[in-house]
Amino acid sequence: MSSIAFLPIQLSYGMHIAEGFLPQIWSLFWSIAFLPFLILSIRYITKQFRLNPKNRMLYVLMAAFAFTLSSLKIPSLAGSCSHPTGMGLGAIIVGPLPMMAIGTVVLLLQALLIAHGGLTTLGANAFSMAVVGPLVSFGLYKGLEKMGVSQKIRVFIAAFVGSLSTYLVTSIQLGIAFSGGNIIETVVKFIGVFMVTQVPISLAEGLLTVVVFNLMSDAQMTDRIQTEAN
Amino acid sequence: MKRNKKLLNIGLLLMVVALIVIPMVLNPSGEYSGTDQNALGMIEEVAPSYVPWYEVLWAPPSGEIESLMFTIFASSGAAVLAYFIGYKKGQLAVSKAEPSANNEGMTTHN
Repeated sequence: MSSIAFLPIQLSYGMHIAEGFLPQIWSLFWSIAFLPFLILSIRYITKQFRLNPKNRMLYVLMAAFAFTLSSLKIPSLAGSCSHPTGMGLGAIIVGPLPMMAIGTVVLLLQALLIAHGGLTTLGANAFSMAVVGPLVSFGLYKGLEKMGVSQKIRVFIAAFVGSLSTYLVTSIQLGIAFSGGNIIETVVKFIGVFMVTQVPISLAEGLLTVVVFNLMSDAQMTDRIQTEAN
Repeated sequence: MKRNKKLLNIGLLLMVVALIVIPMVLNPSGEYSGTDQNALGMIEEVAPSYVPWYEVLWAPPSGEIESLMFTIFASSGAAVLAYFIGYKKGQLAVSKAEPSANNEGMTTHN
């Protein structure tokens, strides 16, 4: 119990892997896996800033949404609290690529200012929340569009499943790192810990994403989605 | 915003409130700590000899300061969202009221 006893009581809520709780090899692995995405994302954003000044406001807004949502601690039936990711809206409106850098900023500030997540686990957490999450949300949104699903429902499903997929990846990351030989069984254990809590939170995320999407759509701020999100 | 849209948004927000309230009603004895603790508990269970190899650089000295940080994040984000969305709505309203006024701003052009 010693390792846990020394943690400050307020050490984070929410679904990210806490500082130091990913063995060095895996910390390095996920950092390396995540880095190319971050670089691509930063290059894309700087290019868009120059080419399309009007996108600046959208990026700021999507970052603001991410900050707001990821600060909301929501209780679950399992008797614990967690946060939504706030990535879904941005993935839909400006595309997944810029969200990778935005999500990283959110995670970095959380690690530094609230001791939530960590620097050694930044790569892993960013991979799950800032890379996989937005990609899943965007892919679902576009895929469902081809299937003719109505927009609001698409937004909800994209945000909901994107949020869940983030925690699925976290479970897998932890399962692999702590498997002791039995990867699948360990992954399933972590999924069991997280997913019960996360389903209602992901539902809440989906709903909140639809609300803000509605507000923005009503102000005609989402009209540019199709053309800019390439 | 048309009435239906407003009702929809309010309905969605009420559903979120329900999602938040229901666990506390159904499970009043839950301690509602963070899930990181549960994850750490599982790590402890699965790999009891694991010792974290890096320490948090700085943690808020108390729950109050931590709440301050969360509040700053949440309110800043909400303020930015509300400001820009409100601004654009205002622009829209102006351009609708005066169709002859310049139409720069949010009209779609690619």
